[in-house]
Amino acid sequence: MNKVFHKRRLFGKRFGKVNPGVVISLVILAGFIICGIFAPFIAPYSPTNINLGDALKPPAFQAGGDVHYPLGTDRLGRDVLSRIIFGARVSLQVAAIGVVASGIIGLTLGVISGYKGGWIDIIIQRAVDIMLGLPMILIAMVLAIIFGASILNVAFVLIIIFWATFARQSRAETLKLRNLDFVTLARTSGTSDFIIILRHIVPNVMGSMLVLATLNVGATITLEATLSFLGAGIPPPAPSWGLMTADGRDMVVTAWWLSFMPGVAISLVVLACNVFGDWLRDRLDPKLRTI
Amino acid sequence: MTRYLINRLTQGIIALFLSSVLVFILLRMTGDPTLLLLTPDATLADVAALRVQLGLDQPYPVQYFLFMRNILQGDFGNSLFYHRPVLDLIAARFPATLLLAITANALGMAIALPFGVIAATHREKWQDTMAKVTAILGQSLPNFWLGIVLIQIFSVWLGWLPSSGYGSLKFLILPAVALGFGSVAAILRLTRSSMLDVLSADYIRLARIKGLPERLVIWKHALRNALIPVVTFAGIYFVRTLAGSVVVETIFAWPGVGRLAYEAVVRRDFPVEQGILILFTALFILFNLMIDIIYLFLDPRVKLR
Repeated sequence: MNKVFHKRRLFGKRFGKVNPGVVISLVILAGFIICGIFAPFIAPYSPTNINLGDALKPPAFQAGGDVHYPLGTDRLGRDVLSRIIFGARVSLQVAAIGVVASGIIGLTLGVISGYKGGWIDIIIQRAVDIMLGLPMILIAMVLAIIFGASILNVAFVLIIIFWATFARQSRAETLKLRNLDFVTLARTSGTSDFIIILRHIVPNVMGSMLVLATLNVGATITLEATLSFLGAGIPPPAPSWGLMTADGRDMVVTAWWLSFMPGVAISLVVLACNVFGDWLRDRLDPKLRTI
Repeated sequence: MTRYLINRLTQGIIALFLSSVLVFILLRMTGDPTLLLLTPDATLADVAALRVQLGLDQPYPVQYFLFMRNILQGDFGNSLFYHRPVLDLIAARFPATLLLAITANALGMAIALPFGVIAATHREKWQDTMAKVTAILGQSLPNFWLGIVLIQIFSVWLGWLPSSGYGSLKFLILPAVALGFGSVAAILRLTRSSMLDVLSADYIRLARIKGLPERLVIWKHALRNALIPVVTFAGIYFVRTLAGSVVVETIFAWPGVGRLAYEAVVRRDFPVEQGILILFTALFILFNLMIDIIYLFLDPRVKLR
């Protein structure tokens, strides 16, 4: 019974018309994931290969540009395009770790909180409220001073922020499901709480978790880039998009492409996540629609 | 209503207490913070003296008590770089941050409110599409990149506005736009959906039936009610821009608390970063509490809950 319900929610007639914005977003996301996984095979050069003879070449389409470096080179002669492609790998790793780990933690706590109620619910909800109310960028900056900038630091900060969004959403969904007939029926027939949660609640919460995960991929990528930009995220010389933007910041007059190009990459991927996530939300749960 | 107020106040105090514990745990995760609190040339005797002074030889609950006592007395220690009390440094920089945040949000509201209403009254038309595009752009473009692009266009290419500094109105425009763009997107979205909700209400239909001009129905009757969630959210968003100003202040060399926080990371000035974190956390919670109380007066229906 629950399986049928689950299937209808995910693959019903709700996947109706497809609009061009969504198709473009999917293409961008596919390109992003392919770049992230196959970076060494796609990128023309190594992202850390220093070649001072070719330093600060402008993009190929600008006067003085070199066709071998389509997006130009930085002050150490490293190819900007190759660094952006390898940067996709950093962003992909960060988003995967951040969203999967915080999704699992948030889903578990949210479902327990909504299903059990009582004091467990109160404690978890207070924790969620406090987490969502803390100035996270500042916490990340404090951690960067304590532990030094590192990818672990970023992952930790992402998890402590994003689990709360998953927990809030899955709790709200669980509260709605808890008193539906099929759950009551399962309970009266003596099914244990653990099995009810695993077989009846979680599958029906997954739809909205998927939407939130898509939107959060964009949010985690932005946050990682912001932290790296501020020197509290991924340490150099790793090709993080935020770090590249920061590197080019004091050269806006002489080498505009250095900070512009990685910013385009961040914006496109985050935009694609948001467009696709909004579309998915409208398909799966029209009640959540905001605009 | 009194009961609601008392409940909400109690919640606020509990939240303050719990976050102070959380911040305390975060700051103590290092094990021994003395090395972060002293300059590298400190002697072993200095370390030992500071450990006693901070009470680090005491059990954790006592340490927490000392930590809170110092905070409540306004003692956040001295900056390792400026050799001045942290609280003085933050207080000196705070007005600039406040000015930037207020300008950015006022700008955001001034643009987002009228366009949100127009988007709602022209549903599925080009105005609505424009609003959607603006909203999703504002949600997606990272503000550090937006700031750099603004500098590129308006300072480097056009030479209209200064790229950094503090002083006349000219210096305020670019940072305020960079910081306010995100709030335009968020407030636009909310105004639109809130207006759509209100416009389908019975009293709006009644206003139309009794022959009020459409202009009055929309801009007076509907907007006034649609504003309630918008104002609340704008308050929450305002607090967020205070913390978000770290990025924008860094790019535009704006002499506010955000840039102080950035410089503290670069200089590994732990006491300053810790002080900013503690003060902003308290500010966040107090602000949220205030917003809830204001909401109570704006929307009498809350009392019934």
